[in-house]
Amino acid sequence: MKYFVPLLLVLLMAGFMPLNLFAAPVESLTAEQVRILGERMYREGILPSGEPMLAFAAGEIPVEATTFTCISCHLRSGLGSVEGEVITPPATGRILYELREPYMKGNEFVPSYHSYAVTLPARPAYTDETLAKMIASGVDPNGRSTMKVMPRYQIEDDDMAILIAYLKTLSSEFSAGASKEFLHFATVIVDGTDPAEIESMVLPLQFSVDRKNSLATASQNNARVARMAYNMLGPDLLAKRFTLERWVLKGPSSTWYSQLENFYKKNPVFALLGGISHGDWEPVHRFCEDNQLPNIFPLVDYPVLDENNWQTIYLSRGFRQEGEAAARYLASMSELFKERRVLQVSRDSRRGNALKDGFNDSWAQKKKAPVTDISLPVGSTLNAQQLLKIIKTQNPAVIIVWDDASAIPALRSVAQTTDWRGLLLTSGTWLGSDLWALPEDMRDDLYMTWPYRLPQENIRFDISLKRILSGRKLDDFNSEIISKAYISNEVLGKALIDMRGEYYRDFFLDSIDMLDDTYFPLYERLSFGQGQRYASKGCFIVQLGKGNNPQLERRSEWVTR
Amino acid sequence: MRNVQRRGVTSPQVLVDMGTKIHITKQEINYQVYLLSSLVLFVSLFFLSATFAQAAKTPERVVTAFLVTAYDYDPGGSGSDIDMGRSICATQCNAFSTDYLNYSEAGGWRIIKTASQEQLRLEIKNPFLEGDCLCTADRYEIRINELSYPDRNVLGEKIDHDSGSGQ
Repeated sequence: MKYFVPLLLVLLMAGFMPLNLFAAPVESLTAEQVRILGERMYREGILPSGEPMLAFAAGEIPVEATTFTCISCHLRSGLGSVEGEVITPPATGRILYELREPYMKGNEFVPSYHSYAVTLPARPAYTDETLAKMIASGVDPNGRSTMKVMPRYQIEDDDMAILIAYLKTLSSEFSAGASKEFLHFATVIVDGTDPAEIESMVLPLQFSVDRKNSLATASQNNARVARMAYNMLGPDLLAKRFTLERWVLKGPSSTWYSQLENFYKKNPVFALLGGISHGDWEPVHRFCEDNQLPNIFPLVDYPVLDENNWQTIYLSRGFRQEGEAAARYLASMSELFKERRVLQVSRDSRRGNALKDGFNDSWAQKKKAPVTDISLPVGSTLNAQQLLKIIKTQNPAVIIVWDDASAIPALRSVAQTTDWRGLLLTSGTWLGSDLWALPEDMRDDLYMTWPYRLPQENIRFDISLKRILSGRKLDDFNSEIISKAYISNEVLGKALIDMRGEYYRDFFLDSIDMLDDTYFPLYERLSFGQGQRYASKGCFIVQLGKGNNPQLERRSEWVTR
Repeated sequence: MRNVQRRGVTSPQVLVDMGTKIHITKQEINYQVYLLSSLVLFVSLFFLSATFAQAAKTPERVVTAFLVTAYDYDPGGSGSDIDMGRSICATQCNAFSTDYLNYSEAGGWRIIKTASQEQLRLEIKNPFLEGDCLCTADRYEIRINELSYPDRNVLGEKIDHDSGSGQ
């Protein structure tokens, strides 16, 4: 006991040691310490002491800065945001410490640059003092108040110095992969993927790169093209050449990380575009996180689901998304069958388990009673008799079958059972082309998840795809894969134009986050938003219509997360 | 009898027209020939261009679309829960509603409103409820100019453009 108090004191001192260090003046901290502490203030609204920053919204309403963080408006890159008519100016030292004029030097005649520049008020360059005053009091060097749109932050001098030092480092040097002449990209391919699928994935990306480079060449030789391209891209992006490397990963996925390191060491690209894998993607995802390397829309069936990760933007949550949508759809009507169970039969495969887990997690989030899970071993076929027996003994309200087309005969038997009243649901995409030949007598009873735009409404979007085929036939490609890769190509172009020559990886991702909801081929709609990493968030519940040339009919709206 | 005098007439000619002698000058004949041939040429060109226009006309497909503005539930004597019915019908009617951006965003379209606030009775399509959904919707014709006409359906089969299904 006699050692308890001194021991406690030692422990407390040890515990507070970092705080004491962090409370030190900025001069005594290393650059890395400033980055860590400043980044936490900027991104999370947490002071070096660990306490939340105090802020005052609308001039006088006290709020915690953890909900009014700098990053919310100035974004991760610090280069600000443009959302509709609301423009948040950049907060990086490089720009703050420069005079702001109603034009962008060197880009005076680029329409988009001009529109942006004239919207922001001119001001003198900030100094450390005027910037601290701005953050603390909401008054800019012109004496204008920004209190209506930006909170005032109550920050002590030492902490303010750390924040300002951090802002000076924020987006201060172009990211690797971006030089004056080039923007380097790569796409990751897992060895063993079907060559036709690889070709379908690479074609739109290569088209994008080739078109851009052709434009750069043409604009040197043709004044009219040069004018058009200048107006669209600005002189900097126009002059840049793009490169696209294929990084082929071989062997077991445990070796991919080191293979990526080697590729990256040889050519530190600005971003990864697309990519394709029907299996693992986690090593690539992790590599991108560790190296702050953006990856735009890899075509993977099992994306890494981590809301806190930043670098990889997926088109959807993969197969799992269908299971999640099914749960939300059924939850909306669960009051109608609350006395009865939900039976879920899933193939014991990665796809089956992804669907099952997606359903179970979303079902649990809705606080519904657990479902009865039955696993189908790989290699077995769903047994109709077994299903009918379960129906007889348990009378489930809903039967969900996550399996391929081999389950159709069993599903048909259930659909034809006259003494069972319930809802039969499966994955429409997993049935493949057999979906279109479902026997007529089961179509009224079988509900399916469908994570894309309905085919009859999507077909006109082939027009977009044909633009990149250079005369080749769409039928020669995997239309689903080429559609997905086309989206990467389009998003890349839009984001780069919006970046106004600021080649920072974080700003690349910020610019994608700021894109409007868009109607591209395949997906009903893609929506973007700050930190959102799954662009398509929904799924339809559908049934197959009548006739020999049937169409899918919606039974739900776009069920979103 | 009608005498037509023109300046510069040199040798009058007589034509019989419904028993009436008409004096028409040579220059007048030339004038009428020009007029007639122009007319023939004009008519021919008109029909020719119309034919070409018909042939070259971009194929147009008409899709009927409904934009649902309200919904309700009719239990139809089944005694089903009205609130749940309305909830299901909200989903059902929304599902029935067309997202016209799926057509307009792809380009080449005209949308024409053909009926307002039409009340549509749809089977509820739910195994736990009976009755019908009542969807109030504006009816539109979406006329699609297939600038680059799709040549296959979802099964990868060639589309018969005349059938108009467009799947």
